[in-house]
Amino acid sequence: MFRSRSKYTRQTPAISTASLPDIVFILLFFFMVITKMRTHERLVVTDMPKVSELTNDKAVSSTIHLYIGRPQGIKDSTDIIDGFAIQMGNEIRPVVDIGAYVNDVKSKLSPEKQKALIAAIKVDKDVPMHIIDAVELALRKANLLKVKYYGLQKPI
Amino acid sequence: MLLRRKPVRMKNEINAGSMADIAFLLLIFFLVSTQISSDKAVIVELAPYSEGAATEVIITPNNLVKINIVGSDTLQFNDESLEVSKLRTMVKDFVKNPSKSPNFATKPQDVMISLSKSGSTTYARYLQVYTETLAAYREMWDEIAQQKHSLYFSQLDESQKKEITALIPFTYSENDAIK
Repeated sequence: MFRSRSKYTRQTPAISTASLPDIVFILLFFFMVITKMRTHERLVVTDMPKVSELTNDKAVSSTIHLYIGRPQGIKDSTDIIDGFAIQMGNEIRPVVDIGAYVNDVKSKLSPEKQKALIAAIKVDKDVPMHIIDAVELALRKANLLKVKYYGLQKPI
Repeated sequence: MLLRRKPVRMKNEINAGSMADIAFLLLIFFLVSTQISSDKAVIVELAPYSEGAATEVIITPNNLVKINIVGSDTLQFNDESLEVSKLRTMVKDFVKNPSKSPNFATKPQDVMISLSKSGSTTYARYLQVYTETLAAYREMWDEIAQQKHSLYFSQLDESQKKEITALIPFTYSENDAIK
């Protein structure tokens, strides 16, 4: 009788929240470390295709980023072909400028990095192939032969 | 007699109760601004550019795999229409030729894959066809790798990989799509 009554009168001790900031800070640092800030403002939308055969290329070497997709905001421009545009760096430029852009990026790199340079391209799934072949031809002329096409992993 | 009063001292403690809130705010900021970018890609090695005519290669018709993408997305395999889902097995059958059919490849080393697309072919379709063809080869390489080393092809070292790709080389050509 006594025992059971004492149970009712006892209060549960408060949970100490002193270590909560530490836990949150650990989470915060995790996100801070894995976050990579974007270097380029995206001017084109690239809705990438889903592919089953993708390789995870972890090799961190110097890359030239190209984006081919639907331009945002801009409507009338000679650089838009069939509704798609190419973004190099921070601006939309025509295909013929690829060679100049590649050489421009190359000239800022050390010789070892120039050798390891690869083109990383994000392409919208609806882009017609004649645009991509024009880009590839320009890259071949600029002697940049290693190309990485990004895609989304298709669930198997 | 004067009473000695104890001097009122401030506690030497900072209230850490709001620390969690501040950390949470920062955390939420990073959570929202983080976009986990995937490094998954198809890696392609382009042929070096050379002026003038391309070199001519003569291949007997039964060793040539003609893959055509007509228009934006119709697929043809050796001039017959085919669904993309069947492309992988078709390529494998053609290259390995288990039934020794005279219409299929004489031996895997002689096979040439020729992909042609039109200017209006969509990138998604092209990539799908290209990766399916590549997947057919990867599966064949995996089979040999399993027989010889009981490992997957991707687990082998470079010299072992070369040995296997010499048995079934991926010889590939592609046309330039013009608008």
